[in-house]
Amino acid sequence: MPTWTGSFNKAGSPTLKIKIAGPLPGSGQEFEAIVDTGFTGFVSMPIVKAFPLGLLLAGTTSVTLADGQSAFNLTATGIVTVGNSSEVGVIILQGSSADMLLGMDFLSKFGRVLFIHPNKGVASLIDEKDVDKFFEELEKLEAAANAAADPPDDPPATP
Amino acid sequence: MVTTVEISNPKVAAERGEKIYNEKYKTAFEAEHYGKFVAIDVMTDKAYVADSPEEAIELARKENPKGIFHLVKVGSTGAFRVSYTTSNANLDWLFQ
Repeated sequence: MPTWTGSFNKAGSPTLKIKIAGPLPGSGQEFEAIVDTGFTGFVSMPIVKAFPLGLLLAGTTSVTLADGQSAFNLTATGIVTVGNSSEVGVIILQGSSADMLLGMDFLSKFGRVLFIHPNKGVASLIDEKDVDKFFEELEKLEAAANAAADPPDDPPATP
Repeated sequence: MVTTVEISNPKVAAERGEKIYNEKYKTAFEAEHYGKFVAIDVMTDKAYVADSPEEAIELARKENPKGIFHLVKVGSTGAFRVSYTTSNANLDWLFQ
């Protein structure tokens, strides 16, 4: 799967363009969303931006805020598309006109690893299978380097 | 006997969901389903447990397509953690 290239917004947060749609055909709209690893859910969006999408309202939930307090939110289910991949997930509807957020469940559902290089302006979401291959290769190289640095003892001489 | 539950606004639904969970399910679920998600049908008091929030809501919708569901994560104060605080949560207009 190709790497998804994001960008940085004015505040310096990594962002990605996504499409969110409800169950009705043609209801989808494109948004620029912040990748927020401090958010454990799938997608969080302001409720006013959700109105035209016709998302299927599910009910309510309780979220734990960064200061430890709790708040209630409305929830809906929606279809999120990036490139050729789509996933259905629970979308948290915020009462305020806050940022649109992509959380850890988003990365998990789409099988993506967030790669950030702020000094080069790189924000990429890499297919986790490609990253897994990289770590496998790295482990092999480390094992080979360790074996070369510490060769096994010679077997005892036979009488 | 069927009881009719009046859900007049989102706050009532959320509070009712929390109450049902805490009184009927919390103790047993924290022993059996720690870390899983639960969709509480605030109209029928039924609970639907699954590994993900989507699965919990899907299970609940299959049983009651017209239901209103409050989502809980077993063992957590909130079903999700967010990185913003009360000052910018600004949900008062919906939940008061």
